[in-house]
Amino acid sequence: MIVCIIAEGSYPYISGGVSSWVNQLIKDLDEIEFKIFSIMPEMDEKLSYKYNIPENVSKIETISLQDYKKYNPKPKNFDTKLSTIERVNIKKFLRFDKTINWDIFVNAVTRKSKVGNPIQFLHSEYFWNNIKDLYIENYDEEGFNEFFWTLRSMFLFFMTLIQETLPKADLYHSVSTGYSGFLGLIQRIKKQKPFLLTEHGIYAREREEEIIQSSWVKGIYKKMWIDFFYFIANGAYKKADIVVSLFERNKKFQLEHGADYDKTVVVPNGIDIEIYNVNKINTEKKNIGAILRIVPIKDVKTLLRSFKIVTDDFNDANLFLIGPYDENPKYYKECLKLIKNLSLEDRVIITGKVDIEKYLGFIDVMVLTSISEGQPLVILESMAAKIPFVATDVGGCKELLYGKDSENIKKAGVIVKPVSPVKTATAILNILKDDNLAKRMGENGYKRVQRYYQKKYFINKYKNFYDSLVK
Amino acid sequence: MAGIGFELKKLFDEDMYTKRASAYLYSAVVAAGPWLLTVITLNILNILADNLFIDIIQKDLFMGTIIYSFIFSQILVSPLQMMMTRYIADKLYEKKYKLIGGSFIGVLKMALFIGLLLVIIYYYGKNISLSYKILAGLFFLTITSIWVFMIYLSAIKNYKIILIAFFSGSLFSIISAVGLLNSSIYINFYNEAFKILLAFTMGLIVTGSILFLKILKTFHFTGSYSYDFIKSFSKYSILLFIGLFYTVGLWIDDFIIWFSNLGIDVFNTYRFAPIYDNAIFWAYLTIIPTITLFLVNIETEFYVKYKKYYGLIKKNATLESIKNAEDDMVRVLFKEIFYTIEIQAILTIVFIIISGQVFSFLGYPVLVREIFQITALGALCNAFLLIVILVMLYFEARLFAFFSSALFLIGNSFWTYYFLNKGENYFGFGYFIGALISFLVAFLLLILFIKNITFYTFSSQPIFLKNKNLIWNKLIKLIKKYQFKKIRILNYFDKNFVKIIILTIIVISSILMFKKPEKEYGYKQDKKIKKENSLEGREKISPDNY
Repeated sequence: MIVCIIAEGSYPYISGGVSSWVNQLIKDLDEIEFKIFSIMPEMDEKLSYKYNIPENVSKIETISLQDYKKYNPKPKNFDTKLSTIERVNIKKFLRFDKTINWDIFVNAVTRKSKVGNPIQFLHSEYFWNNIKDLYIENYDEEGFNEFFWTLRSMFLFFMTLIQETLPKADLYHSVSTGYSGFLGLIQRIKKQKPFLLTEHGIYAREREEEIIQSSWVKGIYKKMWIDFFYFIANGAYKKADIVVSLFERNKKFQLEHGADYDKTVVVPNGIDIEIYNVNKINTEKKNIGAILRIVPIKDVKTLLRSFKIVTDDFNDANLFLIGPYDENPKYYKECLKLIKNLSLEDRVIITGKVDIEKYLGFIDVMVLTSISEGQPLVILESMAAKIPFVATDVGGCKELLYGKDSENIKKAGVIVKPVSPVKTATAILNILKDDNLAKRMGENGYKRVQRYYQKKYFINKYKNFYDSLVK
Repeated sequence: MAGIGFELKKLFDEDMYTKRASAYLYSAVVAAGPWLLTVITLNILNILADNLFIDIIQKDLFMGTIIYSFIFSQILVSPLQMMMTRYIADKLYEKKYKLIGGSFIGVLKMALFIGLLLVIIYYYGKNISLSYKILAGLFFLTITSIWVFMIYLSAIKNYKIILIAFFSGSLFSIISAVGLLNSSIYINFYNEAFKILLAFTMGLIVTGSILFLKILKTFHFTGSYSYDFIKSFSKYSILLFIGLFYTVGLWIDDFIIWFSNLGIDVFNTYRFAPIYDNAIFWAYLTIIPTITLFLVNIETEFYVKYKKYYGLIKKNATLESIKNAEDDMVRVLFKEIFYTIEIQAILTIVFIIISGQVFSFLGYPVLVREIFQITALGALCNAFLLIVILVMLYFEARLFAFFSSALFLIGNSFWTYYFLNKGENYFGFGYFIGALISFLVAFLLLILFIKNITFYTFSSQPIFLKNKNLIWNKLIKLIKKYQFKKIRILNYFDKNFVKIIILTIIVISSILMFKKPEKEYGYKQDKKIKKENSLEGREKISPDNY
């Protein structure tokens, strides 16, 4: 069996939750042949594999957002050859209309004989007329030049992607929606091969947050881009044979946005619990840990502010920031400045990229103040190491720490609101001050991980998915 | 090119009759300067020389030199004409003035180098004296330079200097022709032809020098950016072909007719058809009103609308206001085109009607008049074709313009060749039909294009740019490697040009004056052979020798 993993902005070039997960999955399913199709923002010499590629990976293909440059920028004129029903569906696509018939749409736009190459299509009179109609319908108060160029750039990479040929495989597995999920949808229709969709976070919502904050998209175009990502996510949910999420909250979201109840499944992450069963080292001082990359989404600043409050009661406590800091140097500098302003230079230890097992032995409480998360592995790892956890109420954190309604295992930590240093500090202090509570939480965490979040469970689930989809 | 019109609009805003008249005059000179220069001066020289030419072959030699130099210099410069106009306009817009000065030197050197090569190759081994060859070569290179100067001066809208230069040059030609022909100096056995060509050349050198000095004073010269313009070849290479095809198309009927029974042979050096060429020259004179009207009306009224339309697009206006500006622009464009066509059609008919009297007054044979009547209609179509091509270039519809000019070249060649065997009554029909068809097709293309103008404006813009200047950069390097390193001569010329001109004239005239007259018999023999070969035939057709 050959499985083609379609990854966007992650494996094997960028390390992170999704990439590690993919690498784990491939390594453990060593009887299956894997091919990787990786979509990257840009392709340059600096890109290198961040993982030891397992031997059962037979091919890695990469496409970058600049890939349209392989076409002639001054294309020969091409008159689209489309039937009425194809035109209707392309029209729906350009309007992000969810009643679109994806099969007809994909079968039309993937054929160069019908729409020309991407550049030809964007230059065609057909595309022009569609854009014009769309403008007259909905946007006629806006400047036309900007409208035209926004739509062109929106569809430039998209069209390139649509006509891309993927490696041959028996099953296509997208590990997010967005471009990756859309490619899966196309393969499902074009190659008639099963399509499995796994979503760690909620791609469309992450994009939405990014677009709202971004300065390069303006005015109504923010909404247009956001709608676009929700629209293609909807397509992927509809056409995937199985839609997997990591936890209930995301499953609910997927159902709300078009996924079929019968094919929507929750498969949580899993870890090797034995690795994290480390011996406790008792230290005089209190040690607070945070396993994270120093990037804005982790909201390290809130963490530092709450730690400052903690040091009011425990003035010799340490905060360990465990993980790489080179991804966003600007933000890292800001954090260093904040540490200095809060005069925490002696109390905060930034480790860089290290093996976390060494630190698990002496950490009294783990903290995660992210503003957005999927199902963080660090929570699972800490739980396996019996360390109580304070996390923000994002993604699957609450489900991990408090458990599902049906369980009888109690809390393994405390959930607090995002961006609230005082509440975070209070939660940390409560745990630090009550050794019994800390111990109980640690035990609860261990029990929950052991029961639901072991690596072998998720690996088995995926093996079953693959087997059942490829008969 | 678009810039000229806007400057003119300013002239017209001051609603004074004299101002208006001068505007028309200027634009006529800009558009038709070369024609006025050559045809009028030539005719005056002709009238002056008519009584002085001992025999017809000298007149033919002179005419041959003029026709060949004029046509082939125009063809030589034509590819660069549109290309450089565009380049200069771009650089003016980008405010990169140094590059304009640099490109002037580059283009001039390139044109003169190729021109010199052509002169050497063409005149090598030809059966005329060396002194005449040198003079003819000098004449050719002078015209070539003037074409190059004209590109730069019309781009910076300096019409006054063009007017002054041409007027002084023509005056100088006529005066020196009178002086030389009446003097007893005997130069060589092409005495009169040589003297008249010398006078004409000197006049052109005066014109050229005035233009040249103006350019030197206007632009910065650093010399280091001489070949930067070659980079824009990759972007606008199609303009090279539009210019070349149109200009070759303009003359291709002449070339074909030269080899018909109207053609004569002069010392095995020039072959041309005086009757046809003369008719064509006159026919082209009749379209000066069109070109003037076009420049003034279309470029002023239309250009304001044109600017508004593109301004709105750039300023991110709504589609509705773009559409309104488009309708407005298209309306003015067609109004002006039809207006120009109307006026020109009436004028051409008038010219055709009065041509009988005028030509018999000038003593031209009937055939000249007949050819003139049909070629005047051809020139009419040709003028409209030119308008259409220019409008296409305004709208960046270079592919359409290319197709139109290529069609003109092919059509004119085909139909002229087709009518060649139909007899002398059909001379000129090929040109007329070729021009008519290509005008009609080009006009249709223009209508199709205009209908979808907003689509083309937006969709023709490339989504991204590809860097493909590599080949052209290599060419620039190659040229730089072999060019003369120091170009101080230009600065030197700027300061001491009067001295240099006087010195050159003294040197040339002393060489010529002290040269022994060549052997008489050679000339007589030539004359005899010519008479036997081709002259006989020609004289049968046109006993009056135009």
